[in-house]
Amino acid sequence: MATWFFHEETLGPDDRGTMTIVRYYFDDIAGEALTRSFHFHTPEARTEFIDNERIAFADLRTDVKTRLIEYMARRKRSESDLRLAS
Amino acid sequence: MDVNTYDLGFPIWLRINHFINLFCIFFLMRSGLQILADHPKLYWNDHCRPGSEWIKFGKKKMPTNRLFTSMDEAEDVSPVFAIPGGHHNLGAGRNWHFLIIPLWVLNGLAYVGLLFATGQWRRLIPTSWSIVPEAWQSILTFASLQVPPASSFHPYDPLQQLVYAAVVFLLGPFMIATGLAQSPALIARYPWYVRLFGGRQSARSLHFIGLTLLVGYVLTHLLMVILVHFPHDVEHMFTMFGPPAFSAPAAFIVASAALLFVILSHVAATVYTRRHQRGFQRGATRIVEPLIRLLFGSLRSHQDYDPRDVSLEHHVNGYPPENGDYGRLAANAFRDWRLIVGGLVEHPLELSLEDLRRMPKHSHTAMHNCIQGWTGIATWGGVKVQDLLNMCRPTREARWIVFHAFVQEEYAPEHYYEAFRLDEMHDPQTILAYEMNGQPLPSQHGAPCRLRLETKVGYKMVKYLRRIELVASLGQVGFGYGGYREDHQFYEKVASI
Repeated sequence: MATWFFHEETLGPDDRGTMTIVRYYFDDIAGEALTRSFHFHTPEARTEFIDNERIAFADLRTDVKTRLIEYMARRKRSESDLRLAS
Repeated sequence: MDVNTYDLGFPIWLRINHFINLFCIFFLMRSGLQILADHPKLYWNDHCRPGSEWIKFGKKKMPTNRLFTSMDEAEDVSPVFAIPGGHHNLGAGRNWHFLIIPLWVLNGLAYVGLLFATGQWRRLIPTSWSIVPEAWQSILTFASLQVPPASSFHPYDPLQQLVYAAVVFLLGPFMIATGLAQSPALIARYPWYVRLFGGRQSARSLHFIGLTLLVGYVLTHLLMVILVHFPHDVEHMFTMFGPPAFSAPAAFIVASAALLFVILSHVAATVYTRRHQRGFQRGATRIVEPLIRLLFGSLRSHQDYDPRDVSLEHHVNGYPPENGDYGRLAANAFRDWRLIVGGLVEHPLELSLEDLRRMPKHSHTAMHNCIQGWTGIATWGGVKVQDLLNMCRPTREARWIVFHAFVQEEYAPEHYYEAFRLDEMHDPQTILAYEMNGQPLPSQHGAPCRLRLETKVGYKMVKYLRRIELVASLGQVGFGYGGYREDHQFYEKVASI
């Protein structure tokens, strides 16, 4: 598995009632985080895709980096539990 | 007509043709590089087994101890060399390529037509075998860092004439022919066509070799314009009307302005595409999609590869779902899996794998064409989508059919989906496959059931199917562009090339 969804954050809403949703995925082959950003227009309940970006692990915001490390640790534990169970 | 070739001059149409060609060719090269970067490996075989490429670009090392997908193999490319540059901007790169191709081809046809209509063909097409030894003499002269006398350039030096003729009458058509061989729709309808080139991957490799020849030609052409008899040739080319009247500085200014226009167009196009991918997708697909539908939309798949041609290792794209629902169903060999068929239908369906297996089975051996460039051959077995439609009976309002997958981690919390016009389901080789090479569909290839539609590129063939929905308009599907890739990666939705 190369790409995992590990974090989502919501920013806003702005004056026009638009929120920005940023989803973070980790690509362990490239060693980078991939973000997908959306606008959520509250009045019409409509989601609009903005873009995909790639961020090197070192350049991730500290709190996002922490979330990723926690996620990877959880994942490693569950994989190891699965191996033990089988 | 006795034409003195020296007096042929450069008519205005020829200058316009030349300028449009210059404008187009750099867009085609840069968008071609963007497409190549998504699977920067070239093969001489259609199986694309990892390691069997004859050339690869980029530094990525793929893991050998676990599954990886072709999306992981995509390389970043600088926006200086490719349009729009960046990582996996394949949708925009393809849209640029397909947007420019019609202009380039029409310009080429107009150029060749006018060459023959006006006698200008004498400038390019050799009429005597003596040109071969004369061209050889030119090669020797250039090799000794000398320049043939100016008198030998009227209208063209023999070497120049041979190279121009080869580029116009051989390399140009060769690029079109090998480019067409990249269309899954065309080669599914006429499998013999791709065999002319030794297979789809050979055609892709030849297309790349043609690109390198074209790049080499353009660089040499520009260099020679500067090194040989400068500024006479530039002055001659930019004398817009009648006999040479421009001074060297004026001709240089016009030539520089033309080049600057092309460069600025590229900078503007690259910046716009990167900043407004959705706006570019909307604009480009207004032209690209009707054209692709016109050229390839009505083609039906007639593939019948020999089962002995099946790829031993078949590339994949998209990782299997890891979520609880899918995992529980997989652990039970999908005995509890149900395919829901609903939306605008008279008889909604809920079918188990056993129900599908009880329906008439259809098998075919076909080539899978990934949008990134790789291929693989496999035998797929399952039920015709048309049989399913006959059972559920779409209502009159139904126009589109949407295939929904289980949630995969790489798309979470959303799921993968792709939509098609209902008439695209009539192809007899459009099936819901539950078998691959005579075995139940493997996990990485979409277990328990996936779509096969052999006239499209692979991203349209949804794996890990969970639900089929019939709708009246695309506005009811995701963001309304035709599928997950169209919504998130700005692909065009016809996907026949």
